[in-house]
Amino acid sequence: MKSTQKSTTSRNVLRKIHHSPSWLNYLNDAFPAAGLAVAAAAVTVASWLPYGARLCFAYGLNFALQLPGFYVRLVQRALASFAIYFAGAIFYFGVLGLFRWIPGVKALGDAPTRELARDPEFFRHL
Amino acid sequence: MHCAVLFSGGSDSTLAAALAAERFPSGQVHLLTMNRRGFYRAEKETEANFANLQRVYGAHRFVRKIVEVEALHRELCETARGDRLLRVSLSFAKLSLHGAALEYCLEHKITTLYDGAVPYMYLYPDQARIGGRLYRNFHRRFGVSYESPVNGISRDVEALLFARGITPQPEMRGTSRDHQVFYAEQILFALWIRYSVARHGYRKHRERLRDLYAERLEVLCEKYAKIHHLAQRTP
Repeated sequence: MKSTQKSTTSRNVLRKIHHSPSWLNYLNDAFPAAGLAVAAAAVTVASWLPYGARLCFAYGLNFALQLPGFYVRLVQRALASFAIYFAGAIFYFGVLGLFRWIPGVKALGDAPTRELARDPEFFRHL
Repeated sequence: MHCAVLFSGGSDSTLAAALAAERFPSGQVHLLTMNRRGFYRAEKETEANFANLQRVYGAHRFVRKIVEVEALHRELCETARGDRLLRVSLSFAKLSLHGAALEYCLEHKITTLYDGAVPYMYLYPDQARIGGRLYRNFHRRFGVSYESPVNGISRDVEALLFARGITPQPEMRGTSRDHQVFYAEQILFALWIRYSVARHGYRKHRERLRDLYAERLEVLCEKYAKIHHLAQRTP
């Protein structure tokens, strides 16, 4: 009875601490021995690493275990910011650029052309 | 009379801060939030409830301090001896926060330190079952009273916050408005507990952790006694 209690407690630990379930939670629920093997491997590797490398390892674990949640949202946000940038570029060149094709508008925006095409009458009066 | 609170920005520590403001009406409440490498947005995640507390009790009642504990945390991790697998637990311990909080209390002549420890978080070694008594003795040795005022009312935390007008809705946990500091080693911590409890059983796991914490706190005691030239009191 005692061993069952111990096993149940340790098996439920992941569910209690993980805020959002990852693939490891499902694996641990279905095959507790496999969940324990993953946990033992991760902890053993972490115990070999020095302080700074262990922190990097923790980031790696987060990435590996929380892919369906946090990191997907992070990638989605990055893609969304690129999408906003490209949408802005398309609007600026593609929509605002069309105004130049309205007759007369192009001339308003261009530099004065009098210098380029000199008026011969102008010199005659000098 | 002032009071310091270990403030993570979550519901429990926010209620602890509110209770501190009510218990010491003429004093200030110093909210201490731990920050080190691996912590996500310590200042930003505590902003919402800090603002809520200021709104209800007055802005002048609260002082917020983001405590940088990287050097102390690293020192405590790297100088530990003994079982390598047990030492992994120091990566996510709050020992350095307690050390820095004690130093802050001594500097500002604060004699009461609150935290938001609750009984159902028993898997976290810094909470009541392992850290509670050890931290209480540690702070008492320097004349600081360490208390967990939320411990006995943990079931009603959200209702009490709502009744005081601190939170806008009676259920906050798990919602998008529920902010609290998150750190990189949280998943490593979950895996470590999974492994340790399976291998040793919860009782032995707790005893091993308690011994490690006691030894590390002894190191901290000697450090602060030297710095502040204080005679420690008998625990």
